[in-house]
Order: sequence, then structure tokens, then C-alpha cells
Amino acid sequence: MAGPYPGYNCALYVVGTSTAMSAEACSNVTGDIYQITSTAKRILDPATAVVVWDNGAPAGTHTLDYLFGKIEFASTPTTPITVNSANYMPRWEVTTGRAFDLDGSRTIIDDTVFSSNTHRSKDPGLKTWSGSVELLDDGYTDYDTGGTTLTLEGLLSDGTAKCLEIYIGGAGTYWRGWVLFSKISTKTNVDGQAVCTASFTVAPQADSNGDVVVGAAWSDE
Amino acid sequence: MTKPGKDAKFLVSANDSDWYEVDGIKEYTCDPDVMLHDSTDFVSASLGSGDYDETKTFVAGLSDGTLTFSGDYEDETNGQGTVRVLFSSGAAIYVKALHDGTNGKKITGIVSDYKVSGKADDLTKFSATVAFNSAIADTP
Repeated sequence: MAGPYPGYNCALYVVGTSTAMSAEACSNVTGDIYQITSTAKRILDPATAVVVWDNGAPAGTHTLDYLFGKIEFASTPTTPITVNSANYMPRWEVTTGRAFDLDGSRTIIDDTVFSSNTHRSKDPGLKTWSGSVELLDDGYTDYDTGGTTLTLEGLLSDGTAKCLEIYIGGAGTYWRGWVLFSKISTKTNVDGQAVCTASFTVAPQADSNGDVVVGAAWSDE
Repeated sequence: MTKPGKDAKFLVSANDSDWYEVDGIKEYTCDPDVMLHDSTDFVSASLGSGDYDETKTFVAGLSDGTLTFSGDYEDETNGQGTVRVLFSSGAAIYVKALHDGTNGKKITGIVSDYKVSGKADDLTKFSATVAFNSAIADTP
């Protein structure tokens, strides 16, 4: 058993400005799956081509997990594995967070036809993720301590998707998704804190080839 | 006979073979239903027409239903982890909801909703809904 977890251990992160990296070392996860060793550089910018090298030369056939910086090879690589060039997204903690709701929903498609079955038959359709985060914040707190401004209000007006991370405190599982913030509501009353509630929806992103590759996933999937 | 909820067990499987008890669950609601088609006609509705007594008549149609369960979020791989992974993949989930720990219902379905919520001053919670994709069955 792992849990239950008191909520105060949870944490929220959002990514900042896309940053170039080169010759980034990777470690083996299991089998033919490798992952960028530096935990700070594992969220890859899908808009920038990722060039993977195997033993100093362009790597063979592989697939990329842009959310968690993983590379899965079609056949066993020679190693060492490096990300020769790519952009990563530095992540910054949303230090004023105090609550979140994360809602996954899948459309269930009825495909019942004439038959002797007396029950409905269904197929899984598309899924969506949406949710909200609640902050003791007016929406203008700068979370990027590295020099660039990163506020929730900025994320709303920016109109571009950002990677949001929700860390489920206690055991290290976390959810990441490329989200668009659709609404930021700020409530202030005379005898309480200013509370900002930001609503988001996952908006899958395309890679540099135009293929949609990044939506949302859990770290242990 | 009364059934105290503390005796209940809740198990899930991704293959209808390897079953795992789901830790953290505090409540489940099983809602099977059957469509009822109104079959009342002039004959059955008319007063004094043999066996009928002016009551609407119905015929059972397709069965369906949902199973909703919720509790504290836990990070286990086999129980809640199975639910989480099957929501992501859309693959079939098999559930046994045993009201007395031994007897109950077996459901095959698709995870249609998966939710997690956290608050600084509460435990992290989760809930999920399974849409039935076959007839509900008694188990064992």
C-alpha cells in the first residue's frame, strides 16, 4: 500500500521558456527505454526537433516521450545514449497552490446492434482532461525565479499551451499535461485571502513534424 | 439481511484473470438499469379487458449501467494503478464489487471518468466511473 496522502504534500509546477540543450546524458530505465538523466530537463519542447545519438552517432529507430524525456528504441542500442540537440522546458513551482481538481473523461460510444445480447455494447471514444487549480494569489505572482516572468494571468493572455505538472504528494507519482488556461477567477473578501482559481483543459501539441504527440500522462504509465 | 459496509471488497482486473483489491476505496455505487418500453395498447388500457386493470404495461429492453467508486488516492500499481492505466488506454476493465467480501457483482466495462483532487488541508482523493459493457453478473 502506498498512501493515503495528506494533501499538503502535493505540488503544482508550470513550465517556463523553451531552452536549448545539447549532449544531454540519458540513463536506462528498463529494457530499451532510456530517459534524460537530469530531472530538470525531462520535459521536451515538442516544437523543436529532438536529435538522439547512440554511441556518438545518430540513433536508430526510436519513439520519444516528450512529457517525461524518455526514448524507446525499436532494437537494443549500443549506448551511451545522448540527446544531441533539443529544447527542454524548465519547470517552476506554483508556490501559492493549495488545491487542485483533475478530471479525466472519455466518451463512451454506443455500438449496440441487433443481436441476442440483452445489454448495451460500447466502444471507448476520445478522452479529455480538464481541471482547475486554486491558489492564494491574485494571478500576478511570478513563479519563474530564473529571470523571466511567469504568471497565471500571463498564461491566460498568452493563449499558448503550457505543460502543467501536478505532483501527488507522498510517493512520487505525478501527472503532466500540455494545457490551455481558459478562465482565471479571482475572489477577494474583506476577511480572507485573495483566492485565484484557474481552469484548464489539456490541449495536445504537435511535434516539429506536425504529428500530435503530447497530451497528458502519468509518470508511471 | 443487513450488510455492514466494512465487510465489502472491491477488486479490479485488466484481463479477467489477475485480480487486485483496490486500496483506498471508501464507497462504491453500482447502478444497473434496464430500459422499459411502454407497451400499453388500446386493449390493455381499456377498462374490463380481461387480465388488465388500466395500468400501463412495459417490456424490458437493453440493460446498461454505471459503477462509481471513490476514496483516498493511493499510489499502488495493481489496484488504483490499474484503473488509472485503463482509463488512459480505453481498454476493458473488469470489476468485482463484493458487498460482503465474498458475494457481489462482476462488471465488465470501460473507465469513462477518472478524477483526482487535492487540498492542502485534506487527504488526496480520487474517483472513477465505469460504464458497463456487458451484462452485470453475480459472483462468485
